[in-house]
Amino acid sequence: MGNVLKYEIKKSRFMLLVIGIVIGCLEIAYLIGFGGIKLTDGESDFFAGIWGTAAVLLIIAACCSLFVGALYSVVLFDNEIRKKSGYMLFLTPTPTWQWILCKILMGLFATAALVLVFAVLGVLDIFLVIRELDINSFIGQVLIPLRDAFTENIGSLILFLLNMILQIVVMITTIYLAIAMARTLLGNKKIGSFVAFLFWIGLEMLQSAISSVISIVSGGTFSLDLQITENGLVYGLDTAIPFLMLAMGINLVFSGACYGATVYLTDKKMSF
Amino acid sequence: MLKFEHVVKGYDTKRALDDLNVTFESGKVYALVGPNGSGKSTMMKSAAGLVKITSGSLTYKGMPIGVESKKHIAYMSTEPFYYDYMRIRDVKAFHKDFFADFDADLFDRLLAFMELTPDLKMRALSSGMAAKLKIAVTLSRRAEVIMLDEPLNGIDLIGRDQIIHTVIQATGNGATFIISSHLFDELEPIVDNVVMMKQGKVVLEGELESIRAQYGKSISDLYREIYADTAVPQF
Repeated sequence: MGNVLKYEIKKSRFMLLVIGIVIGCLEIAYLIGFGGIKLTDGESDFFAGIWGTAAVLLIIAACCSLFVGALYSVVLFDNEIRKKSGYMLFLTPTPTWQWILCKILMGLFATAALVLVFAVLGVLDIFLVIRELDINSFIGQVLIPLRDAFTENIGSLILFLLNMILQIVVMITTIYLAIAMARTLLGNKKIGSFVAFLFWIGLEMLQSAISSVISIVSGGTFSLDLQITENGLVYGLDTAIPFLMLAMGINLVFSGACYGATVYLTDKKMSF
Repeated sequence: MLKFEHVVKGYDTKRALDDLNVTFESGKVYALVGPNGSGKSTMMKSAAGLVKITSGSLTYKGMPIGVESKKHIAYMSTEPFYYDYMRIRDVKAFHKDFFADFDADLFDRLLAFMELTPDLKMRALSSGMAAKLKIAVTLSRRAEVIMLDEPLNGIDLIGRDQIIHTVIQATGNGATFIISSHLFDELEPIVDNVVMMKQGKVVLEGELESIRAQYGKSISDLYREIYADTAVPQF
């Protein structure tokens, strides 16, 4: 399994390099904009524009980073079964469950790496700005209530984050299964992405329906809302550990079923 | 050893393999001949585990084709299939990592004989160079069964001589060779047995000498006779 993972990482080097360069350029633009604003005492619209644009693009990129790794994992799977280069892998004595698992793990690693990079950059960039503000009032009004809301519900928060990771796995496995179904159940034809997309929508709707039913039955939810009051910001963290556990269980079973079905179809029905 | 019993592979309305029955014995060199579309490549890909058969039984030493059989069966497809990002040295490392029977020293020797260098990128290889690389990689595995699908396709005369010479040397090591080609004349000096295919079925098989003696004709003449209806019409 280590060998398969090693080559998945090698294949992904270029993609990670491109993303790294994009993030690096945005961060440099952010720092140039910020430095320019400081040097001109906030008089320069040019630097303010650079800073603002870079900040917005970094936020968008950070949000997208949750999906980039997952989508890249899907591209790796699709390329393997669609292109002749897939022969390299399929001729090796590697069990199907193993190479598919490696591609899912590669998606998770890429997502984790991107989330980590954005978390570090986000903290650094925010503190760079905080230093220029009234720190006491900022920390007092924004960060302390947020910290308190989180520390009081640390269990729920961890479960929420774990569930988020599982949702990424669900996304990857449902797309894998949709692609495998499109390739095999319809006569092993290379019929393009459209049918796979329809299958994926169907699988996602099924998963959402199951989750909704569980949510309604258990009456649970997880949400964070924000209110501005005379005493500063107030965070409302609505948590329900049993609901989160149930949601995780559903995601685990659903992604496991999709993974198992993908392995079966690829191993027994798919020709290359 | 490698046994096809009533094997069918269907694509929509067409059958690429149609009730195929043939057994390949250990240590022999087989020529798999037939025109385009006769099922040669599908048959080899099935044995390599790339194509899943629709029905019938396909076994290697009694076990179904799968992870275990892939450890002992080497297959070279007609198309080049190495990852674009690789150089020749990466292809060598890949095969060393995945195949216990890969002989890296033999690969280096074959590479030198084929006049290829390890730093060449896949994207930069001409079709002739890619064909030579495929041969070098496949023959560097000390596999029990080696299947070469159209090894002489798209190769110039000098390249053909190099490849045939390499294959002749490799056939002496006790492995079973299955070599497909439209060009039987070039395979004739190195093969023991012939398997002729037509429309997904085996139409003639046996030892080269026995067939010649039985029919009183050369294999090339038999080939022309069997495939007369698939010949190119005269204008």
